[in-house]
Amino acid sequence: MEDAIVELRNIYKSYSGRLILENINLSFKAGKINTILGPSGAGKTTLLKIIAGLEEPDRGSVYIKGVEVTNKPPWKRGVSMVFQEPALLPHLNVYENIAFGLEVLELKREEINERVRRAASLLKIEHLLDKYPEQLSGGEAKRVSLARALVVGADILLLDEPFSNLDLALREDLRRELYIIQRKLGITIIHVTHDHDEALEISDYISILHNGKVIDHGETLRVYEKPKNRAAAKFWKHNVVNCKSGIVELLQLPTCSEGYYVLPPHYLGVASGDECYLEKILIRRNHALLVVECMGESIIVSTTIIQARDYSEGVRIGLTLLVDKDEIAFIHG
Amino acid sequence: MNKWAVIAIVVITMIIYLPVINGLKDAFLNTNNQFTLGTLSNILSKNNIRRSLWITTIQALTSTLIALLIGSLLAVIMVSISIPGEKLFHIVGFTAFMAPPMIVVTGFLDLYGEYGFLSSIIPQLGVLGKGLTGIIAAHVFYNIPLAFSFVYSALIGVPREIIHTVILFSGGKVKYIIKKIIIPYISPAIISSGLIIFIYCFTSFAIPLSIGGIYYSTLEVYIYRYYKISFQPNNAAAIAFIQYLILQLIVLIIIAMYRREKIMAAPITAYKYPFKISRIAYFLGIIYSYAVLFYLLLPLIIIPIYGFVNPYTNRLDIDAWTHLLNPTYDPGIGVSIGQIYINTFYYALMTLVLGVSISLFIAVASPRTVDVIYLSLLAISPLTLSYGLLRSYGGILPVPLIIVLAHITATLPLATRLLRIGYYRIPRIILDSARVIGERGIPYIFRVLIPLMKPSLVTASLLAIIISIGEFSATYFIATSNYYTISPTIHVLRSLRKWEEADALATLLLIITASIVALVRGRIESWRMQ
Repeated sequence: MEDAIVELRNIYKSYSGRLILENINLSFKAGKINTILGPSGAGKTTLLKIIAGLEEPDRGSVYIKGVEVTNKPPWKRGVSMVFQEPALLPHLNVYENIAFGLEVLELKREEINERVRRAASLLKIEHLLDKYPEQLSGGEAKRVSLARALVVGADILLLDEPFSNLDLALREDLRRELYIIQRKLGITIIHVTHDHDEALEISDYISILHNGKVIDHGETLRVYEKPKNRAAAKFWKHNVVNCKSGIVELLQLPTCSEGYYVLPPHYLGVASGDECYLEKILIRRNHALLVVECMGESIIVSTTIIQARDYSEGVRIGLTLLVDKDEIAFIHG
Repeated sequence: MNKWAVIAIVVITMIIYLPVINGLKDAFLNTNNQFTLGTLSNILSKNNIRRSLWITTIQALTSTLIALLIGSLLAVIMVSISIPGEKLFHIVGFTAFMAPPMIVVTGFLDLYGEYGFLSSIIPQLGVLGKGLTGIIAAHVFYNIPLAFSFVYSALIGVPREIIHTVILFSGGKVKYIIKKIIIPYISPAIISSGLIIFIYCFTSFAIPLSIGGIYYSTLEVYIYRYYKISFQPNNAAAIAFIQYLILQLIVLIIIAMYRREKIMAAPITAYKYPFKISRIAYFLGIIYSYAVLFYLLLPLIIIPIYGFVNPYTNRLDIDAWTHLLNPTYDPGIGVSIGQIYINTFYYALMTLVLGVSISLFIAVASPRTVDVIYLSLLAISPLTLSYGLLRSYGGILPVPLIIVLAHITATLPLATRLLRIGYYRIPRIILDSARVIGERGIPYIFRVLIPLMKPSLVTASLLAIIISIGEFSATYFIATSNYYTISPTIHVLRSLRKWEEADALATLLLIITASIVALVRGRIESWRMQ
């Protein structure tokens, strides 16, 4: 099941002389949630459209299930897609919107009905089938577009920032439901997002795209905790510490002549001591971040909100490692 | 209702509604000014009028259908493939749309008329320069850009993600793309543009008058003939009334369509549809597009050339230009050409100042008021208005002012639309903050509105100039020759068989139109879609 179902080889794409994608080589695993993560303008949507066949690469090849599909039209690739906007046809009701892809397959009316109702049930929108897009809320419209994409039974589902423009609670609900649906149906999802939390929450694999290049790719936890390079580490906003710096000595890590340690905030903890200075406490929804100044460098430390209550800004504190030294990623150069 | 709406309605009532009502009431009066339905029933019983009603309807309907077919297909091609020189299509289309009717008439007669360039080579093409087919061909020329514009705007207004969705889920089947995108999205545009084209063709005057000949007179031509030639104003009013009823019915349909179109409105994506087009389809698309382009371009090209061709010797000369550049030259209408130029530019200037000011009041009135005014104007033909203006203000106001009022009315729909878009583009917060600091009344107009709406005011002013300079129907109907402008003079010159001078004068009109089109096109293109 874990074979590559979609492969991109040496993909290049530019618009008006501006290089959008540069030498992209990626493979996406079958039956998994593969996320392309990156900031706005990184080329994520373009990459997804190249997989879908909605854009043609300037160079390079796209393979789906081992077959080259670079020159095949979208409908011959066995993919389905959900866009950033729900893109529901305004003149069709919810039922007709979901059934749209099935009508084209020229299935029997009963089968279309059965499949539409099953998809609607999966997405909990049975009560909306007679409504028109203009009568739906943002979340409902997203569910309908997801149902429309699932109902055609494609093995590969492409999601282009499907939860954007939704409020936080709804976004979280929907991505959890998507995760459950994917596990239930076993389909392959290639998902594009700029949201770190979303990527970490639902992805089996993450590819980080930055300025049109893949800067890291692999299993979610590996990509997050042990980024392969400084750019990827900086993208996660991890602490990237020069191995010659005083902090390295403070944390009793081996020093070296050249290289960097990647210290995710959750690898660090506050200890008794006075080597560092607590500059700021940032309260987040489920945790707190401490901005600590140590030996002239600014370090971010993650902690619980309950623990953060014990500290106050301006006090002197110590710093400690919460993981084994050999778990820490080292980047040469 | 805000104070702007009140001012707008009062002004419009004075210059349009009251004169029109005053004129149309003549349809219910006999020669002794007593109420009667006899005039109407008498006019309806006349065979020539019944035939004219049929001709008016059939030419308008046929012109509309052909223009829609050609324009819509061109729009579909333009969103599907990249055509070399695409910008040229937009420039030529917009120029053709804005060209004064006498330019179209001149170009068509030069190409397909009795001694036309193309009809001399291929005699069969002569049908495009006379009679019913000539009227239809010229109306189609005029309205292809309008149909194209509506449908193209509707197509590029389809959100990109909808296009992608349909392509992805349609299995590449063209019938689904047509059924799910093309028809739902462009049918309101086709119906709206179709109704507007129908009204334009139904009320067109210069083209049926110059190309149709007596046998193919439309209702608008009969209004002219009854009033100006037969001196039977009541009969003219009766025809105007019948025409008004028909147009009002169409306007009601437009109102219903207008509501529906709003629901379908979407942000503009200006995007080529990612269709997979076969090589043959691509080349057919290119050939079709260039054929349309040449149909629009040829009448515009022939005019300047014929301005240098002596029709009797077929030799090149500059006689016509020598005459037209001599201000004292009388082209045979009893007035110097210098006076014609003065009249033309004086009316244009007055129309600019008054028309744009009135349009500004309408534009900042409530949207509902604007819609009512805009749509009600569609039901009033130029000659119906001109007749009403003469009946109401003839002998009271000087003739030039009556002509200017008619030109203002011709300017209002487009100028109001442009200014309205300009007004709604101003961030509300700026207007609100101006009001909070106490700006109101006249200072509010001059210190806030005018500076903020400057781009749309400039565009509306330039278009007011084109419309006034090129206006034919009302000027020809209202004015005697000493008050003529360039357009009626071209018509008279053609009647006097001074073709070279007519072409040279039409060239002058074309240069003015094309120059202004070049100045405003980019802005109009972006606003047209909103």
